[in-house]
Amino acid sequence: MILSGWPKKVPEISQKTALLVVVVLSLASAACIYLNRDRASEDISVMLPAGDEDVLRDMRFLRNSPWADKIFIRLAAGPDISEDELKSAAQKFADSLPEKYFPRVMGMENPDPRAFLHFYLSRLPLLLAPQDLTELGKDLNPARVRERMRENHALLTGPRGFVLKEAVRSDPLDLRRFFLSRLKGLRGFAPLKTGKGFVLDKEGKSALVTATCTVKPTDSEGSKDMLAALDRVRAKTLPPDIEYTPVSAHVYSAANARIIRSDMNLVLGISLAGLLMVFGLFLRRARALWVVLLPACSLLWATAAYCLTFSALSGIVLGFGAVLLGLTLDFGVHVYMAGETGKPGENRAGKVLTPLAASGLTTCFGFLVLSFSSISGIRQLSFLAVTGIVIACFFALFILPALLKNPGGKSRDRQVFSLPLPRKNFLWLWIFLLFLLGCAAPFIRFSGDLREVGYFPEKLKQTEKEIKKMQGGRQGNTMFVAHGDTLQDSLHLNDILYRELGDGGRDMASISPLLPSKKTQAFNLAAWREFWDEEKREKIEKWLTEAGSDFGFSPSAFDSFFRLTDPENAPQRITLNDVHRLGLGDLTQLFLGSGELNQAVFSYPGSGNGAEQAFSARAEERPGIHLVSESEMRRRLGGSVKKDLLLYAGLGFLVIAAFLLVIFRKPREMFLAFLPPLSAVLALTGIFALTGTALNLFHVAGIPLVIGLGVDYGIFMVYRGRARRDVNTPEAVFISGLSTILAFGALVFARHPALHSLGLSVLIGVLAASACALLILPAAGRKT
Amino acid sequence: MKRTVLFLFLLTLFFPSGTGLARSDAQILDSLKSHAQKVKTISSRFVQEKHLSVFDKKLESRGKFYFRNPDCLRWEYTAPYEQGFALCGDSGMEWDEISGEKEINAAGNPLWDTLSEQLIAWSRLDIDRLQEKYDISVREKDPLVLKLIPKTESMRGVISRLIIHMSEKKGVIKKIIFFEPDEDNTRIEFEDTQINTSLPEGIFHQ
Repeated sequence: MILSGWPKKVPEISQKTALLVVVVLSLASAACIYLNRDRASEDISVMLPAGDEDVLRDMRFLRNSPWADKIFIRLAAGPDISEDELKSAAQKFADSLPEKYFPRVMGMENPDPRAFLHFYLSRLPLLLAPQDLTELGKDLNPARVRERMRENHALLTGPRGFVLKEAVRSDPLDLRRFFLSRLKGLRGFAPLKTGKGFVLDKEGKSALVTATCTVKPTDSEGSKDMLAALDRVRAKTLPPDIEYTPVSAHVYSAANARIIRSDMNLVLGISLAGLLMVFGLFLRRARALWVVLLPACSLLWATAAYCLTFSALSGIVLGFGAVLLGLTLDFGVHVYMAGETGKPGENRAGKVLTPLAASGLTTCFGFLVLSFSSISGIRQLSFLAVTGIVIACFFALFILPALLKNPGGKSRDRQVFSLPLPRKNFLWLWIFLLFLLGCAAPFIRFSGDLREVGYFPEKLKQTEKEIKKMQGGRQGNTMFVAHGDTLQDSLHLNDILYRELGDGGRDMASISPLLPSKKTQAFNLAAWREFWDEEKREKIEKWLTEAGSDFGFSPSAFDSFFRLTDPENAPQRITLNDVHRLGLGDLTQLFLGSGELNQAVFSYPGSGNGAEQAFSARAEERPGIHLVSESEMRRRLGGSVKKDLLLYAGLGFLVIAAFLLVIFRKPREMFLAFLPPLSAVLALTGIFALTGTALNLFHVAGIPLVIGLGVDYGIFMVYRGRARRDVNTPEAVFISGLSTILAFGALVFARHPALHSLGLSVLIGVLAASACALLILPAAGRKT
Repeated sequence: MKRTVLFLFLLTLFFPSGTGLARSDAQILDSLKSHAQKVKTISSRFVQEKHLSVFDKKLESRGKFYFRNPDCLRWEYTAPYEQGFALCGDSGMEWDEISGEKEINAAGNPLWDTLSEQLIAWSRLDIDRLQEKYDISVREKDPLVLKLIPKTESMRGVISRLIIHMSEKKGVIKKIIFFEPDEDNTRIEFEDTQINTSLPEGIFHQ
């Protein structure tokens, strides 16, 4: 064995020195973590593969989309509530929303259709594209102009005449038809009855209040306060017969936090009861509590090292790291159990030095492979795990023995179980079982959808569907993003996109018809001036005056139109402020990005009209314009994460196997030491494949812990079989396995899918690894 | 101070107060309200005259008007062009000689939403609804003439004032005059108005 030359004794330190080291290092680490606490974020992008720039970019677009900072509150009327009562309650509710959390409630503006039409008609030269003018050119003949005059006459006689008089004066040729036809796509955003601060469904039975939030969904405390404020408004303004359901990322965060809290109460209760039972049955001494200090210290000190090494800290990495370092409990248990066998006061840590060092090194190498992952979070996790394991080894060998003050005198190295079958057959039966599970493993399904590991209450899912229906099904699933350096650049890209995809009657909802970029406006104005040359202007004036006179129009009736065609009179450019002033601020809110992407412009293809396919076919030709599909992005993200995790987990497994070969040199011993982690992984994947359970990210997150523990069990058991050391190894493995199952396996009772998945992985994996270590390896060892 | 109070008291005795007049107006409006509540259907013919500055002469048109409580309305021109609209709630039809028939959804169209709401409120003299949008005063009492001034600036951009002449038959409108800000105006005179008679089937849907 390569480690056989290592010293069999570790240097001894006094209990006082050990305590001093623990206290000083813990205080320093706690201070370091405290000082860095504000740097920890819950940003999921840390778990995204760096290589897939498209996924990262799309994730950023989705996080800053116009829908990202909105909350939707559905108010559903009970059978006894009339439409008027619902309207009045909805308005009162919307009016009472506190500005601190909801600075903008949509639908509070009252756009004036006449002012809107007047504004845009006076800017037709900036809005009509060259192809519109080509189309118009076909209409410019005396017969067609006369026909238009008849239409205008009829229009002013009829009901629309009340509001369209000015439109006829400034646009007798009905050029507005080009502009108005482009607003068709925007109708999907307003298919319902509107009120002040809310929209109503067709039946008048439910109202939707939409507001912008100041609180980020990742701010769980802020979200909690915001939702509490919303509850207070509900209590103050809504009668009990109106059901209220808010939907936003904040609500999901709060629901998840709530369920996790409730799960943790249950799981901690089960875990604590179980651990107390293990402690009472197997350890029984107060000094055994020092063993628990080992994972706590290794996590604390490794976290401090993580804080000092990385500039951006991830809450997700810290959470997974805490779970992962649970495996270091194993080291403490081995040192404790070894101490039980020595003389009073004797440091017996040296007796487990070789297996402990071998186990620590093997696990470290396994995790080191993960540092080559393209996922930044996995690299950080690798650092945290390796640092934690090195610290745990140091603690177990140098600090723990002094703290334990070994009483010694008991030799309890015995086999925990006796096997009911002939041992040789049992080993082969186990290998055959693993072979069967291994055959099933390739059929495992993998789900990379992050939403599947979140908690989504059924009622919220249902309300989300109903809200989407109320919004015309447009809300944010698939969108185009025009992203330039400035808002004007983005608007220009958006114009290009709209011209190519929207103008072909694809029913695309875009801000382009209402707010074209400066460049587009200048381009259109130049085309307009070129179109209305002197000769054309003289002709149209003559025809309009003649035909108008036949229908009774006064000679000055169309003066405002003639001014529009005059090259001396340039209309004022359309700006974002103009659009806001017209009362269309709510509408622009749905197209302009939020947060760090407030210069990006979003648009939405109509459903099933082929705009996405048409765009995808020529995506390369449009730099700066991106198609973002939430479902597609989740699918690609899942695929990338799966590829990365499986690749590096597989490589880590190979490195562990290779390192075991280097340590033991004999393939048989290497194989036996490798058998517990192999059993754990094959049991996990095989059972999942056979039961049709899809492996999700949290199942995968439990695998490194299971492999780490399995390696420990294997090394300690093989080392025991070879060296015949009197250090209570089987009992240590048994206690370690049982406490891990109780501490982490209890998560299987959690209702939160992520916690449940983690618990299930650990439960199956540790059961298989410890069963293999305790039942199979002693049998195989005896044979050798 | 005491003298001032006495003077004010005497003033109230010798001069009729503004509130006294308003109460009289309010009584008239209340009487219209109670009458309007009894209206289930209306049918009428109308003659519309438009005096617009863009035309050298007045524009005259004729048509029919139907209403059914609470929110069905048909406004139909028969001459010089056949055009009009029929609405029940938010949905209905619009037609003209050039474009033919078109479906309309008042909820998604602010123009139709405002137009239908206003026409219904005027035609059935829904005083409560009209008072939300207009300041109403009684210009003449016999025969009754009401003057309505829009409360909002955006509305005043379309109609500066509205004069409603009532017929001697109680609760029946004889004439409405809409004045635009530039003094262009539209006069609609109703003839042969029938209250609470049965209306042809399907009239609001085709």
